[in-house]
Amino acid sequence: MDAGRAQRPLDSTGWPPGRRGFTGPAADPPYSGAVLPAREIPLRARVRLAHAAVQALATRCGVDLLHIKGPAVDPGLRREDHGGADVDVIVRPDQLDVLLAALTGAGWRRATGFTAGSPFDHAANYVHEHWGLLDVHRTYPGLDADPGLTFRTLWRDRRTIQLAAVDCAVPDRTAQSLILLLHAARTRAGGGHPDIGPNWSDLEEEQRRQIRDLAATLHAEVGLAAATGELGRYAGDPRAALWRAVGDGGSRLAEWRARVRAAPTARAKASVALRSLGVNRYYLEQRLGHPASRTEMAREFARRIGRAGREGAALVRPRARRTGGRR
Amino acid sequence: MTGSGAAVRPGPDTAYVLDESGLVALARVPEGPPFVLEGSAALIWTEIVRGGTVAEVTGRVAVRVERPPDEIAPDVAAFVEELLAQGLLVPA
Repeated sequence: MDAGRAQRPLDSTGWPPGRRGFTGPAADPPYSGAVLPAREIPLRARVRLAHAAVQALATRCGVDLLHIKGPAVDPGLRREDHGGADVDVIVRPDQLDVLLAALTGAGWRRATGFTAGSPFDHAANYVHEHWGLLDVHRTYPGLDADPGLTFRTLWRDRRTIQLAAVDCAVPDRTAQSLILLLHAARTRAGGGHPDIGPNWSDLEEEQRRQIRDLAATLHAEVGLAAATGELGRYAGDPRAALWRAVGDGGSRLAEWRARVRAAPTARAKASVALRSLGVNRYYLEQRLGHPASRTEMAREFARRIGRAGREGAALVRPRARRTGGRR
Repeated sequence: MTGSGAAVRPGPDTAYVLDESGLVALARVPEGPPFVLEGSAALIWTEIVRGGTVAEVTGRVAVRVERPPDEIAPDVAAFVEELLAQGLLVPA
């Protein structure tokens, strides 16, 4: 059966003719192939290995984290198989710096920081040549309670599953449902997001009550309402405008305006407004397909300014026409 | 050299996925790199993780590929040695 020793081709019983079937470092006999780049490993398998790699690193440096989304989700909570394309974890907040330092030391490269990933400032994105993409969450968008309280609550009720044969902590089913609902609420899929059914519409009232109770503990009522179509109950809450902006697929400017309104202090509002014009190098390079030059960064900055102006004008014009009509 | 009576198992830092396509993806974590096993190699790994001695693994693999155990034993043993050298397997 060994390619190096077999004298005759083998049949279809599983022994591949001409090779051992083991791929490893080409320069390191007796292996016959090469280490496959991450992109050549089936995505489903690579994402699971990546979860395991992040867990192994966390265990090594004594950091608690919870695996969420993708293969970490209980299969009964999703109608379709979502193997995921990246790894998402929530880290115990006071151990965040330890994990980030360990990631850097283990070959992970930061792609975006916590203030660049989304209107919720919730995650930093990392990339690894073997493992792909990782989102490190210090909390989850819509869980508005203190991140420490949030993590302790989720950690207290955690479950353990195996991903790539490595023990990984995950939130319990109720918390997983809440997280999936919050994710659905900011995914521009209207009211028909496939996760709403198995995590809300199809549930018994007692199960919904458990999700509502957890949402109350974690100050996630507004996000939950956005997922369940009850956002009208929070009409005066600035957070509701943010959820409406991200969930309705409004303009980028409308999203940023809502984000400014939802910021709790004047200083935070100013910071958000300033960042809204900033250029995210990682996303720009993903779009360009090559490292961005200074000129390209400057051009993108000018483009963002221009788009903000055009969207601002578009928002103003209908208002002016309405105003004119009333006169 | 690991004898056929010895048992082996995945190492404490070995992560692996039995993919539905028949491949096995595995790595020592957190460093990597990831490897992919296919064909005979994937089959042997699948039987190794079920447990047992190298001889028992060889016996089960032989049944699955419809070959005499004696015929495939040297290659299974060589493959196990390779995995031990990589640290992907350890003596049980």
